Amino acid sequence: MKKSPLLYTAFIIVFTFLLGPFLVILIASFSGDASMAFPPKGFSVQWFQKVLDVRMFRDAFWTSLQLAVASTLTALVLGTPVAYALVRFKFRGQNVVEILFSLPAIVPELVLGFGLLQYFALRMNMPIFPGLYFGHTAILFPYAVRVVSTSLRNFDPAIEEAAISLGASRLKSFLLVVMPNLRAAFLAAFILAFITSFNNVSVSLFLTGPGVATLPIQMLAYMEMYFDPTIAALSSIIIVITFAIVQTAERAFGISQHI
Amino acid sequence: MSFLELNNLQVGYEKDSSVLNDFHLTVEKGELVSLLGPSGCGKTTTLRTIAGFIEPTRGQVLINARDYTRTPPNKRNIGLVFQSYALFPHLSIFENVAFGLRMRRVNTSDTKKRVAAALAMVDLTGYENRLPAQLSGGQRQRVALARAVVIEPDLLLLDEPLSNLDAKLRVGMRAELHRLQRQLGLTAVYVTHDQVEAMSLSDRVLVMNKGKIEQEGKPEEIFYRPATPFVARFMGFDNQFAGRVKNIGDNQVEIEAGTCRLIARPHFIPDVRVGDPVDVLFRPEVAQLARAPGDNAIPGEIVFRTFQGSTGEYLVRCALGEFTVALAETSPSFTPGAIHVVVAPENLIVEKP
Repeated sequence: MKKSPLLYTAFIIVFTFLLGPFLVILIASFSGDASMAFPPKGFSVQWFQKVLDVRMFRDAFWTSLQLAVASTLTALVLGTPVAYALVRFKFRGQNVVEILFSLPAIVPELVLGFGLLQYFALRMNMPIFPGLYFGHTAILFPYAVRVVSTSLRNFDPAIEEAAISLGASRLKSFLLVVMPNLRAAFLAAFILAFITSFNNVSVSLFLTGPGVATLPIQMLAYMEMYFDPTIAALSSIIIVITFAIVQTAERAFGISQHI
Repeated sequence: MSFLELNNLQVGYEKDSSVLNDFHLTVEKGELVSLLGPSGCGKTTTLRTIAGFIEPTRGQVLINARDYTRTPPNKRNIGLVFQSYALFPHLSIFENVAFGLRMRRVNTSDTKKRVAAALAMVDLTGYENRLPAQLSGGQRQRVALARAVVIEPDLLLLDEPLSNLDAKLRVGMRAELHRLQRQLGLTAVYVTHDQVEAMSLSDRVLVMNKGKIEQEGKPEEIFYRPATPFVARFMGFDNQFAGRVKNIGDNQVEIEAGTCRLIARPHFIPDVRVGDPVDVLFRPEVAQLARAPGDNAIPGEIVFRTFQGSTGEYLVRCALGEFTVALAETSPSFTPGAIHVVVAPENLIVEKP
């Protein structure tokens, strides 16, 4: 096939825009200089060392990790039966329910965050971590429902009925037959939701408070005071880890077809 | 009392015509009954109601004199075979067949024996460790069959089980299915839209249309004596024209249609009187073509001819309508032009419109 120069140029431009920022950050994080600059002066790994040394990053990382795991699992556990009901049963008001459950994905996150702040923190006087947990569960829930229901829709209902006709209860047929075949979809939903929670700023911004911060919020706070390449180093770590997780899952299960 | 009885069954609400209304069905032990009809006629709904996936709004489902109407599908001892095979993709062939036995808590050694016997029955010994994806369509459907019969079901339900197979395989599977059903003495209900399949497999055929039974009987009866125009068309009486009863004689009806006078001597004469309007039908294979006019000949013109392998099909335009005539390839071919469609009186059937 003959390469079209126009197409080739467009390809380069798009990739530069998509990957350029990552490259800049990656290069800047090895800077030898104490202030963020591009191109960097000198070479060092001191900023990576500093990321690991700064206590607030370590704390925020654990908070984010716990928050992401807990809210993702909750969203999946709650979202799966909802997805199942939406796909397998027909009932009155189904459309309304479907829209209702996707609302957190449609409403701007800032509005949602503000609403949750009003409700959890000010009205109910809820501690910070539970507030974050409920808030994140709410934004992840639609993702869980969507990914699980998409793959359920592609799963032949006759297979489930075969299991039932052979003596399995509906629950047993779900656990023994449907679940094992939706493993990749669950993993895709988990990774998608996990990353969404881990990277979330807008909702966390309203719900964090003294003593408890998620990693992105901590990074924002750090940047307001310091402008050294620590943030670049931390970003690089996050990019590499995210990329590694997604790649591994893609190789093992082909998760991209479920998203 | 029959082995399976559906009494006065109603599914869904009366305004919806695709569901069942006041539906009756009986199946004797060891009998294979086909539900034959176009899609949306209610045949699959009937099957799913017997299986327990659809709860009827009224009526009863009796199996072996026990009322199963409100019994959930997993508590009925029914084997199901689906069009899509519906094997469990993540389980080996052995585990697929063993599934029903595991649900019944059959012990390990009995499970092994029964699965081996079931796989031997469908000629798949040695495939135990494969996954469904590694098998061909025909093999998969045989696994599905083994999985359904290994639990020794009271009833075997088959939902278009051969529709996903290619034509050649279908004939082989049909024979195998027939042999198995007879050999095991299984009581079976078979859903299909293919009249050849229904004819060759069934002890009894029910032709369904819009949630009602149009006709019920032995395959030969339905094939030669369709009771309604709908059944006739479904049985391959593709040619139809309207006429009027001119005279009724001994075992025969004289019909006037346009300028034609035709004698019909069908297996079955409906309750008609002189002067009544009727529909007259015949199959493409029984008609002949003739250049010269004669008895029971309808004048027309050949529009075109299509080659169909063992037959040649002619489309003939007559004043009464367009007819298809299928002639054996060995018979002389006709060039387009004026022609007569000749149908023997025995091959014409008369229906009330």
